[in-house]
Amino acid sequence: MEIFNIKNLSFTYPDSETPALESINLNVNPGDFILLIGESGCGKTTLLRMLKKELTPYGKTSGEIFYKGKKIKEINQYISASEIGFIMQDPDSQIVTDKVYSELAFGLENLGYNNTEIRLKVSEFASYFGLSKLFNKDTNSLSGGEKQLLNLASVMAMNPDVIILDEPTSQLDPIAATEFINTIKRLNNDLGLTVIIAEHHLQELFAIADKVAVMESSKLIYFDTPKDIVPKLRNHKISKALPASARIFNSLSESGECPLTVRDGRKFLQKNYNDIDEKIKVDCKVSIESVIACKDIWFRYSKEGADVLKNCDFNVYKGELYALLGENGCGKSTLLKCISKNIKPYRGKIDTFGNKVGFLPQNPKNLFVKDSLEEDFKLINYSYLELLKMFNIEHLLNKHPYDLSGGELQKAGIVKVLLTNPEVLLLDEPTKGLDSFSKEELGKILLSLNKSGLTIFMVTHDVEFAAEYANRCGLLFDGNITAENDSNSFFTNNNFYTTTSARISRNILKNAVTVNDVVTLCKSNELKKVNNND
Amino acid sequence: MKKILTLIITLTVFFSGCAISSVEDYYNSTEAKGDKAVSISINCQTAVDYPNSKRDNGKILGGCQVYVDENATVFDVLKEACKINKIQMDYEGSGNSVYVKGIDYLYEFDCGDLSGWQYSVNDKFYSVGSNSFIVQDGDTVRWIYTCDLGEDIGNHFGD
Amino acid sequence: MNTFKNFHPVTLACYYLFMFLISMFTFNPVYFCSGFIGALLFVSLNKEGKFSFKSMIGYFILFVLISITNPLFSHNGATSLFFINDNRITLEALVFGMCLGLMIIEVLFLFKSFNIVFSSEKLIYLFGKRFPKLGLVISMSLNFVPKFVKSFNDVYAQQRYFSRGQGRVRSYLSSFSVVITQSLENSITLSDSMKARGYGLKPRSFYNNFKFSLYDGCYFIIMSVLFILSALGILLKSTEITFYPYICISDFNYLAVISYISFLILSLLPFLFQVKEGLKWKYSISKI
Repeated sequence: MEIFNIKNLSFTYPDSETPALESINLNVNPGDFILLIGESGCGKTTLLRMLKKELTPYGKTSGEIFYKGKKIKEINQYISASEIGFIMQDPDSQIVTDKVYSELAFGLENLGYNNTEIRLKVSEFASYFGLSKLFNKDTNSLSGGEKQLLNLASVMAMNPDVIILDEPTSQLDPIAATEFINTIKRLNNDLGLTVIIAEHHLQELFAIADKVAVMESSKLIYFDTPKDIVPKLRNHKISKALPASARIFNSLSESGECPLTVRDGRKFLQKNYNDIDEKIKVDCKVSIESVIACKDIWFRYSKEGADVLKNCDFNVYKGELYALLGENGCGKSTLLKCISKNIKPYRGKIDTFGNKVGFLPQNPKNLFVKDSLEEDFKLINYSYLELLKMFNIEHLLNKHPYDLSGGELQKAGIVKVLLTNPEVLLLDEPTKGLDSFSKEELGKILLSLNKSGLTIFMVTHDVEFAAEYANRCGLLFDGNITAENDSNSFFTNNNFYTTTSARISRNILKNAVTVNDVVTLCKSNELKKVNNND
Repeated sequence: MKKILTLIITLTVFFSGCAISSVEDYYNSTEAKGDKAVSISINCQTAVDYPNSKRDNGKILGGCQVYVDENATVFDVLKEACKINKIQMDYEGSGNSVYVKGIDYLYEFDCGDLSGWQYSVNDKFYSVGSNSFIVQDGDTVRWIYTCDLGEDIGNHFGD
Repeated sequence: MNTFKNFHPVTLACYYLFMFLISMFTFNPVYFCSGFIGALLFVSLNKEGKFSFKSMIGYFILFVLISITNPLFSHNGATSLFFINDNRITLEALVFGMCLGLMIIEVLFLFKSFNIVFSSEKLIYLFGKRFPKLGLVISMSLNFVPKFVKSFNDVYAQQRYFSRGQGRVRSYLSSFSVVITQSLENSITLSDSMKARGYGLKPRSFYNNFKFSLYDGCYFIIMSVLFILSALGILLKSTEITFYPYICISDFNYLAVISYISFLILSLLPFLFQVKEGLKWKYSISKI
């Protein structure tokens, strides 16, 4: 019997005229791993929430959802609470209690289990998820990835049959995101747990999923296996969100079986293309005028604490778009705070040469204090209309900042910072939580700002974004910058810490680091491909 | 270090406004006495009669003549009498609102919640503060301890 | 190594209840001294106490301040030392002030030792066992407050940047309102997350890691006996001291001695226990 059977489901929010979901039909079998993709605001979250009785939004519903053959509205509350697990986007605000163990026990306490039963289940799941070391810690002391794992574990402690995840990794760094997805895959393999997951970050998920459901403006347009769905999406907007190998495959208009992983992508390239001597031309013109010069900075947060920045030494030059990469906790954000003069290094000197530095924090929500964007902008400067036009967000002027989507908020944040007329813009994780469309839009905006003379310095985990848009990249490790180069050489020289495309084309193509690079190099060598096929 | 320094300075300023005198100096100091003669007595028989009392003598000061100046009040008379006879006296407040808490180690509330010191002038009780009542030449001031808000010493409430 | 902290919360709660009760219902410097020495030794034995001789200077200043403040306001007492502005300063009031200072410092150190021993989980256990919802509320607040402070600091740093020239108070206020709004937003997610995990369906049960062992029982009995003996001395007034008008110590009697000694042992119990366990550990290591 199907776990979920969705029949002709439509849904309209009370204050809206257009439906949020329109005649959705979907079957989910036990043990399925279903990936739900689509642009922000296409109805993914609404659909997922319809599957969990407690979270179903208010509004006009037609059609039916069956859970194990029963109408979802009529199933027992305890069954719904324990058998259907739900995990949301923000790792922080889902955590209820102050200790890891009490968080794990939270759901079981709600269902009235006694102490012995809870102890058994909690210890079982803490071991399975590798949370034993964290067991007695404060939840506040965990990293984002650990928090999300804790959320997963505390849902899993209730022993659900199906787990629904709404963009669970969008707030995590890539390493934590991969670990989280692997854990879900393991649950799916080990326990036969049914998984329904909506996500923007598809690199790993696409290869794991059994079925992919594609949504577009309230409708379910495709529902098929990953391999079959890639060719269908060839000219679709959403194809940009696909894994690098699939995008290369699509862009080269290949037929046959689509590669999804790096390994398959390499095989695909090796099979169809010979080694190519041609190189991507990189024009890297760097001005010699520094706008930020950091000289031997040392920083630590407390007297006895460890050094976060050690002898950190680097320059940002006028008119460049610099991306500083590095894993979580390597001191990237600390460095930004130093440059924006929020904190002061205990040794060393930071010179901004009198340039005004604008800083956009990781959470742009922190910038806004008023009830609408317009009021907020007016606090600083009245010349916001031009910028809004450039960013294409005039229609949001009267909206409350908290009603904006992630991408819109990011753009509004940049506008607010730009209103202070800075010469240098500092960005902290600008792509966090954005879908691929918003990312592309943001990238284009950054490029055009950069072209008009603004120096941009960003700190990011997102290697793909850095490879696509930055002029220069640096890697921060153990408190100082260990590698620094123009972005193409940077990613070509790195073996592990590099883009997926670079890993796919390593030793096959000379210096391709983005999907476009790979496609360009391959297309210019079509002849060799023909030779190869002979 | 800074904090300790501030503390020392504050204390110095605080104490510099105070006149410190030894016990002998205090009792021996003679001020210009006035020409109004007032007789004063202090009595706490009620406290002696109070259950479990440790006191055996109700007469703290029996009939004493003090000389005070023109504007002297009942309180001034008490203070002068206590000084002459070396009787302990404790009060709080200053200016027009002085409240006598204890005389000869006998304090308010020592004999129940309704106990304390009251005064009468020429055998009449007044409800104004002792530092607001100006005495006349030849007046007789009595300070009496009550255990029952004056009921037990004849100061009936509302009279 | 086993420490005093590892006792069951109920045992520990009783210990501190006994200590605070005795400190509250007596005014006897001998009790205060024993309590102070016991708490001081225990605090200095634990790293969390952050004990240093430098910090003791602060406590000493506090003690001196309280000691000299009392005679300034209380003029009771038969032995006059000198007069300030016609007000007598008496020996009795000074001694009383010193006792008061000793009591306050003893209670402060008791709280210090209480803080070391009582982690949040123990507190939550004490409340949560009887009232699971109250336990949950405490736990949620302990989760919320640090989060709130952290996001306030983030927002405040931003607001300072945008409101240069504006007053500090104004940026504080606007940051505060931003953080409140964000917390309200997040609480929607929180309530969803709670609902999704079945909150409110049944009366909650309460999960904890504590077990009341025989060991706890033994120590509980020892503590109770010591407490009763020391309380007996207070109830029967054999340890009574009066300060006014003369300092008057009750005559020598055996009950007072027993009470004093019991309370000294009770005060030193956490320290002695920890030292005992430390030696035991050392000894067992040397045997291995």
